Amino acid sequence: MYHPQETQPTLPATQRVAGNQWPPPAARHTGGKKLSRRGLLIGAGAVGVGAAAITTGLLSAEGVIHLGASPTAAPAPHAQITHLLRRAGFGATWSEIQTYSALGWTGTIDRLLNPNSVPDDIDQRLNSLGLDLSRPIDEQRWWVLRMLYSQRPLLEKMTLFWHGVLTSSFKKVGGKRGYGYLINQNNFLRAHAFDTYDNILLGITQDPAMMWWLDLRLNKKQAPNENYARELMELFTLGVSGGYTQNDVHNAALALTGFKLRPDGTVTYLPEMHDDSQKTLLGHTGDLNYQDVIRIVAAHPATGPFICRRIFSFFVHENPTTADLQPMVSAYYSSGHNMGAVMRAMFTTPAFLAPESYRARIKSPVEFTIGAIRQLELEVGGSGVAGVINQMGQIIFAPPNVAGWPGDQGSANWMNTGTWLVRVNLINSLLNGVKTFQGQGGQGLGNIDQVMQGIISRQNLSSAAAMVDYFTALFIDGQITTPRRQTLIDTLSASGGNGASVKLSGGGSVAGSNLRTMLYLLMTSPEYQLN
Amino acid sequence: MNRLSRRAILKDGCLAVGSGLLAPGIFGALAQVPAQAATLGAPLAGPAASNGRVLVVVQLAGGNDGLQAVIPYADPLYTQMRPTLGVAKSNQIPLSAQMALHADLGALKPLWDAGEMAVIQGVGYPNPNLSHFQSMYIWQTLDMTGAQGTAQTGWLGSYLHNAGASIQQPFTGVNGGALLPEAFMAPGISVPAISSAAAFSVRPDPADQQRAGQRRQALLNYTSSFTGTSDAQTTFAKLLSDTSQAAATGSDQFAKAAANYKPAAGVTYPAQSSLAASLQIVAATITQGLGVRVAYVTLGGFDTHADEVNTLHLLYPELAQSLAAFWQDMHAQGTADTIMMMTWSEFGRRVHENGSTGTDHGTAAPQFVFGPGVAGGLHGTAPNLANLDSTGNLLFQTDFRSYYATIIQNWLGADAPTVLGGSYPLLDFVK
Repeated sequence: MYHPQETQPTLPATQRVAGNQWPPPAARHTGGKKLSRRGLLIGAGAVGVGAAAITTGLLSAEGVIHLGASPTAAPAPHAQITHLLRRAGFGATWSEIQTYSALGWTGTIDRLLNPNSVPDDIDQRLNSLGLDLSRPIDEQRWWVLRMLYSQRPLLEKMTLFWHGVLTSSFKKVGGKRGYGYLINQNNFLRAHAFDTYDNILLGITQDPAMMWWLDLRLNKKQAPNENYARELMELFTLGVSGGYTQNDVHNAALALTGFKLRPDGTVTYLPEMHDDSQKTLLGHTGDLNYQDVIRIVAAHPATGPFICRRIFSFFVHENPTTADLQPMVSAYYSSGHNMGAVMRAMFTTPAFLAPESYRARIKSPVEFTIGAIRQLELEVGGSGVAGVINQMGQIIFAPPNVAGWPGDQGSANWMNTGTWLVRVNLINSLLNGVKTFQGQGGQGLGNIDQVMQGIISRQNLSSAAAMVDYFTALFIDGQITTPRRQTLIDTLSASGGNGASVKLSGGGSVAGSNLRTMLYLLMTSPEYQLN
Repeated sequence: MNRLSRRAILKDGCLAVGSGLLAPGIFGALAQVPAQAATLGAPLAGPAASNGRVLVVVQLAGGNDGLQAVIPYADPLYTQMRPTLGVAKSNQIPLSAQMALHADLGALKPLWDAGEMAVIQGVGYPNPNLSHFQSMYIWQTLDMTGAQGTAQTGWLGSYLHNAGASIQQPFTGVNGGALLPEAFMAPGISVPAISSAAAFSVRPDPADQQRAGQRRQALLNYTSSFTGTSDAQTTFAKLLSDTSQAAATGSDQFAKAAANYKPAAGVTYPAQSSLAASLQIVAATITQGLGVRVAYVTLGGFDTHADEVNTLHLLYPELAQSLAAFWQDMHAQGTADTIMMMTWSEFGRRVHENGSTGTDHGTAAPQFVFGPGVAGGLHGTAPNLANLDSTGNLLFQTDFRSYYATIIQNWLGADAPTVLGGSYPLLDFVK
């Protein structure tokens, strides 16, 4: 196992804001506290005791970071951790923010990159649901619930990344058996998310779903099928300008012969089915086989820059310079193509925390939806969630083509009038406890007034401003301009609100519909739409 | 006259990328091009630029096998090169002494008989690119390098921009389906992508219906008043602002149209077809007078590397029946005369079948044009199966840019060289 040298990130100088630092010194004392699995799943009551204690009284108006006066500043410390948790996951709950903040920057990265060290009962939970994983709708639920409730956010995020690169779709890999192949592929990508690229490619080459998706199962020495050979180089490794020719595609197809996908889904390598002629691939000549092909393409000088650019574009922003990628590319080659080392290099490079990396992508449908439900701490059943993600243009297990989702590389692709409407309507539905988004327990936010009352009491929020500051800290790192913060405060006290009112700590109240509208504006805002 | 010069945009875009100012990936369908926007020039006059005609584009994604759709049955090479895939005589509908339509496309025959269907043979381009995505990019942006992420405009976006479309006219273009094609990319143009009427509106708080309008206005104000603090944030702020405004205007208009539209009596669109659903969205926007000039629908699944016969046996009937229903509907509603429909696909397929009862990526293929305004019949010559390129693929006879130019100039009445950034010989399939 490769252990990269521990490096401290170069953090931008702490921003001086209203006299408070984030996290406050007291927060560090709760560092050992494990994330409560139960806490996450039972609704807004999830805020841990320790977290609630340390934040009591902290989120007064002057305790929150406002970026308005300092437009070019890099994210402040609280924003750095939440920025990291958004990129390395789907958006953190209040208690998760406290826990990770207490671990510090390096500790957070260590925890994210070592998922096996974090206890997680997600498999147990999923098994108890009795899903039929030979049906696409249940497959989508299965993964949506993982992303929502796993304690290993980066592992799920990285699996989603690989699904967008080494992709397959149930639109081609279908049928009772084929649908199951996609779950196998997903489990493979999760198990090897931070493995060497060689191992990942060796596995995906022999993966039944991939063998269907890109037709490697049909690649015979008498009748080569070039589909996998071409996409292996174009989309997985060298990139379209990586310097391969049609001749390389043809020879790679010949070298990749020998696999047999049996009807029961097992894959065997039969030497007699392998084309043992001399062939040349990217300057290497011999009786090349699939292992040679993977070895050659994984070590190719175009592959490190190609895959690092894909990763950076997905996790950070879409316009990396060669210099931005350089630490990742170095890590790729010096670690023997270890993707964990590449990820660590990305998180610890200065570019990750640079101002131009902050709010620098439109959230994908998965990021937006999973993040909203996680941060509202709703317990949902999952099928309605997958449906709404589909409507936003991201069909999990069915990307539009072999290159995955265009939005992974250019996030503006996610946004058009139709998908924007689906996003704002999702927030409206979540805040109103629409049944589609409820779980078997029927929880949802149907009782939002009670849920909010619980938060107000625990956080000891005593004014409209304190409420706005709590939710902006949770949802958008507290990075909001003064006028926009004031708009949210005014929304809470607007006339004509109705619904059961929510009582503030120490007297006063807010109309339920005003509270929903404030959260609606905040969670549809550009600040929240950006990652 | 100010013109949208695609070449200028590309050039500036590339320069800017080189100096690290412009993220090629960031500027998607709706984003304004920042520093270079001024060089684009003002659009031409607004509604006056329209001649009242509509173009409906049908994308067959994945690479439709032209030799199965329009079969060169008189050529003995066809069955020699496709011993298992070759379409049997009993499944052919002869169109001429050389060519036949696949029987699975038989629902189109009435349009052929009425002279409202043209087959443009051998459409392609020089130095064909066998990658799906590069070839799609070439067809959509006319960037013949196929280098993804460099072009800022698609050909339909360029047409709309030059026709004076603006954010205030949200339905000059419309896409049936949630994902907007790159063909619509253009500075300052926001094309609605609609998957259903219910999804395409701002829903109220069910417990506070009386303040629905007020809340929607607050949403739009809050979305549009964010200003970014980095280049990317500024770009995305504009994208979100434009998108929200267009969504608000567009959803009001579409709600009205969807409520008023019904397929004409006796017309049945195929059920369970996303293509048919998209065509009904298009039909609603056209028949209810939302000012549509370009509508776009997509049917995917044509990447038939294996098991091609069965795949096409599902896809072709869905395609043909959906298009036939649309045209029956448009005739009955009295709007057919204003509409022309064209297909495109990123490439045809290899002439020789592969060992998997399928075909690999190819090059030139026939495309279909429909409508009372087309000169029906076969255009161009039968594919020459004896004269293939070094990869075993057909040579093209008609450049797809001529195909586009003919529609832009002779159907939509716009200046094709301006829209396409170059002059291409016009064809004669528009009456």
